[in-house]
Amino acid sequence: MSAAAGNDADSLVVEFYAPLYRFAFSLCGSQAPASDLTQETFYRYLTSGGAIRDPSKVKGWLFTTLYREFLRSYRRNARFPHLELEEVESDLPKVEAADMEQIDGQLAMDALQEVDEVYRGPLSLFYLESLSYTEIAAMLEIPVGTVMSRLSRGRSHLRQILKNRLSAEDRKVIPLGNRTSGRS
Amino acid sequence: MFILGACPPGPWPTDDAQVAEALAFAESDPGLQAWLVETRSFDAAMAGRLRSIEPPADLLDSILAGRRATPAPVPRRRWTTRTVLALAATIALVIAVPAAWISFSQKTDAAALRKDAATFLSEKWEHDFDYPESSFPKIQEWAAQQSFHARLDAPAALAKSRTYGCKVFKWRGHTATLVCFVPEGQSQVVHIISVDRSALPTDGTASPDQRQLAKAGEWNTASWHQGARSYVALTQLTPETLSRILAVKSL
Repeated sequence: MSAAAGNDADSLVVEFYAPLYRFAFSLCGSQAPASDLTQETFYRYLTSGGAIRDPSKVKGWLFTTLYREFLRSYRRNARFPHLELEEVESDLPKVEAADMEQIDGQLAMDALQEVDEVYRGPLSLFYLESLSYTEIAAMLEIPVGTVMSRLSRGRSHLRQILKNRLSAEDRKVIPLGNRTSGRS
Repeated sequence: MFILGACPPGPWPTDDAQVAEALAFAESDPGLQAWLVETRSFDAAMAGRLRSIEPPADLLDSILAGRRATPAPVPRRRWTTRTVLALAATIALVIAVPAAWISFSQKTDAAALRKDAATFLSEKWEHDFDYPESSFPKIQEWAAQQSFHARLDAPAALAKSRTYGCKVFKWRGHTATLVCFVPEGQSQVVHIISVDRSALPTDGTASPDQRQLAKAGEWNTASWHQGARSYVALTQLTPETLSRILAVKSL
């Protein structure tokens, strides 16, 4: 690889490694596999022989490749059962926007992990990359209508999970004088 | 509600007529307006929390070290001195060898199509379409009107499925088409690449009732011929699911 090409590749890695890692982490839920997915994605790009000639398409290629690799390698190990959200959607309480003050990044990511995988991919790109529904559809190779539906149901499920988490926190007994150690 | 809820946190898109229409409608409905404000507020907070997650401290160094250890890729479509010399040597070799050997070396069959199709999807295709279209009948109509006059078919279960569009490219000198289907109830795409059957003169590709399943790279594939064309389907669905989709008979 020439020095110029090497510098370009380094710049590309620096620009995209963090958003790709966050996407990978949101999909598989732990640090080691998320790092592996990110590295594998860059390896595929760097060994592709410059197949992506249009620089504007590199980002999409990287996210699509990472998602495909996730589906290939990790999907069979999904930890959470599929929920028929329509059956439970209207009955369960959901977290309010005002409650978000009580939620930090780790709790938000933990809750996202509990969302069924089919909703998690679109939700991750929606929240982490602020992508439009058409961009998400192209990256995940699913129809636009399906993206809209999954965002709506996924968000609803996410809010239920966050509500449950906060309720569980509230039920914890915290001794007087130690309240700073809990979420409040 | 559906479309506004699918817009990410941040400024509203200015080039989406559907969003503009939905926003105008929301302004006239106080209940919908309240829902929108609350949902946008939740989305903005959620996005901020998730983006606060930092990658491991050593990940960047690790990737950059891996990059430097990665063998240099072979650039495509660049005419270097080495490429020209290699091409000249190849031409000389082809001229010198017996005709029978030439015939053998140029043999094209379903396995070659399968392998090249997998490489095309994984490495070369840039997810663009010559004819973006969600209806397969319209793609059929379009393909028949092009200079290559392809008469495209699809298994019954796919023919009524939503499509992304059609891409036309060259495979070993022959015009090939790629159509991307989203089978009903599935989250993965089934890509179908086809060429004129005359492109596979030595092929024993099966009829539609005897589709051949095989693995090619990261793809599960099936190949068959129908009418004047040969087909290969590629997907990341399981072989069982692919087989089930392709085996569905016409209604």
